[in-house]
Amino acid sequence: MIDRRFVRTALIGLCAFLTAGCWDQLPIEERGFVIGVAIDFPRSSAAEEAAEKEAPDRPEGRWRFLVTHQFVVPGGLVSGSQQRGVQGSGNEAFLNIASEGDSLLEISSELATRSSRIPFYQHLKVLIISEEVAKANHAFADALDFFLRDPELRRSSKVMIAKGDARPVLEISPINEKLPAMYINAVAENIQKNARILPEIWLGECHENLMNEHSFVLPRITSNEKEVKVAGAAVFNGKSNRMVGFLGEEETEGLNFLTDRVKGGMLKAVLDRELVTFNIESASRKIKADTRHKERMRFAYTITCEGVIDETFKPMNYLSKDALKTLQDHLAKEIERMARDTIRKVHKQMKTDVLGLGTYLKQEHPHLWKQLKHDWEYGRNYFASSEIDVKATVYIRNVGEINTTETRSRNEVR
Amino acid sequence: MNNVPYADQKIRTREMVIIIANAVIGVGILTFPRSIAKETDAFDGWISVLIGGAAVCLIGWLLGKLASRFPTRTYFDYVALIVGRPFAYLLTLLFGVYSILMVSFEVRAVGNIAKQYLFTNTPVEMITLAFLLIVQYAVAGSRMALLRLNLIFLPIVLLVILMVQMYTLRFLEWENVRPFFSTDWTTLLKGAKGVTLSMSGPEIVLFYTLLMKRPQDAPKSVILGLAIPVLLYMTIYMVIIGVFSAAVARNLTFPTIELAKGVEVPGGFIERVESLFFTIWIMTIFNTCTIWFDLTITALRSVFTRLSKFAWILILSPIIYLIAMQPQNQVEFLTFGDRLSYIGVVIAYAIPLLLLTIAKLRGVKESD
Repeated sequence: MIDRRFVRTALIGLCAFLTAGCWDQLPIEERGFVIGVAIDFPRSSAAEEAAEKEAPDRPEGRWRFLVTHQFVVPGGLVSGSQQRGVQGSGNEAFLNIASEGDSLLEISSELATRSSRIPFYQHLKVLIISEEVAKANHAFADALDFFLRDPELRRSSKVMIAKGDARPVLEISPINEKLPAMYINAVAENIQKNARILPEIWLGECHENLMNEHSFVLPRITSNEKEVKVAGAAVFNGKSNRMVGFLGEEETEGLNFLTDRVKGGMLKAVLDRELVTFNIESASRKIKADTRHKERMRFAYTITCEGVIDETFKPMNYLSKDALKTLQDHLAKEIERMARDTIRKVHKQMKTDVLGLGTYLKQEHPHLWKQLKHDWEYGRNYFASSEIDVKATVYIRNVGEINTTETRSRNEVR
Repeated sequence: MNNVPYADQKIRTREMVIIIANAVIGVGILTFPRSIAKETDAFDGWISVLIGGAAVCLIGWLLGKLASRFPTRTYFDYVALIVGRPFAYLLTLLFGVYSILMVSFEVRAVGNIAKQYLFTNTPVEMITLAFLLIVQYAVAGSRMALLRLNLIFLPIVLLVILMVQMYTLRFLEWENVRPFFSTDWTTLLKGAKGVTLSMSGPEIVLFYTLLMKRPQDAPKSVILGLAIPVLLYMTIYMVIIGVFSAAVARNLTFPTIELAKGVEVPGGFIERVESLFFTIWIMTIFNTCTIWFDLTITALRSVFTRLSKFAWILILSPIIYLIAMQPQNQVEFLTFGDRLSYIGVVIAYAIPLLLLTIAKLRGVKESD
């Protein structure tokens, strides 16, 4: 009896040793956390020629990508190592590795031959794509396929289009943040403060945009050595999924007003040659459509904007009703101006419906939309032949703590 | 011995409701939004869920009627009463085969999904085996304990799924949701077919009514038990279409997993909520699996009375494992699932409904 019990215990113990284990065990020190990826086309064909020489018969893609991965170097995150050196000097909290290849997975696996840490994408924050890649036929969708398909990746990484090359954007050394990708990630979320930032677009939304045949916009990012600027927008044609051009900062603000994406920011208006600055607290827009004639549809936007006066160089009595009314009208004109500029560019020049009119028709006039779906931005192009009008109303809710800053009359001084 | 109220050998009506809800929530919850979105291509698919759910409820109610007609008899016994012993042998065995396939499918689903998202380097054979061993262990124990495990798991499952939906609601875009009611009826019915197929599970009432304290409540409990998954499916579908749009949803292999992956709990402290989701999803599959395994053994033991439960577990486990390992890739696995739903419609829905009709016509009842 005792023997049997001993055997049994031994067996159970043995099982515990033999069956416990993990194929997927990977110590956290060996994971290379990728937080940012930048995708370019290579500048030189040297690497391609070398690969060609080595294996002339290898399968080749239509493109070659130059992909920059930004890894976190945990040692650099320790607060003791504050001083900054040249990249790779050992103090930096990140490491950028650029590699070239036909496919994204190829590049990712190629990294394993050069990095001590295996790339791990679960915490990928930003994906930056160069203007050139975005403009090439289908290259944009090709570049995103790996990120959408691999189960390790999540659909909530942010996607941005770099003006020019994407790689330098990840190579900046920001002053107050240790990781460029995290810095970019934080900047892109500041829509409460500025109406010229296009709200963040996630990888998942990008997929949605690529699947649906609507034209779409992505945030634009520019960089210098120390910092980035997230402002402006890249416009994509919905059918070819190719970038057709950029919208400037003001045009983006106009677009944000037209598509109901303004969450805050400021507006300037000139009143008797003096500047008044208005702080936007909220904005909304309505669309009315006259769809009687397909060839000549009329859309009327009504934009309503609310906020407070936060800065003004124009001395006047801000507590008077009439003054406020004049001011409101001037600010409204300014919104209308920006919106018209945007409409002129995307409607007349680019002929892409990033104004959300197709979506509006689909929602409000589903039957009509079913008929003209294929002739909206293409074919008979009802979008281009439509007329768009904008009306804005501004409500000033508060004028701040003071009425005027000084008592002089400006004209006398001049 | 009434001081342990749950130690009795009978299931209450409320427990039956929960058991059925748990049996229905299974692999389908991960994939069904894709199949509905493929058919309806709009937010209106939620109507399909309702129609499909109502159809399953009706079938389930009739199955409950059949079972509660013979409150103290096993499936084999009452089939024998209705159509005679030879048919009873055949039909019970068919049911046994169907439930074996169900267990295989669920076990493999855990293997596949755990490999795809959690253990990329672990062979799927190993994951599946490990899971099967746990299921086996559970089934070898007390059946009542097994059934009551459902009571513990279901609230957790519902809580986490609701949490996933709540935290993803802020990604909802109105342009994906509207227009409402733009889909025609034939399309909606096509979508409803998919829902009906992905909701296998109410047939367990055929076997478990006998264990109920009040067998006459069986039809009612099936309907209530189905109401939980139907409502759950409906909200999940709405959120998924709102977040992803129909065009994307029909393109995702496992839309519900993608939804869970999108969860961002404010504060940034928990970034990977999907691990929580996988855990609870595996819990529901565990429940579904154990129920079906137990059902298999019940069915087979009512035919071959000589073998013990434990012997059956030992005989069936390798068979289940081998069947589970048959699909060679994702496509074959999904096809296996689709075929299984059709087999289920015949064996678990059509045949019992036919039996009910015959029983009604002939007036066969318990007392006979």
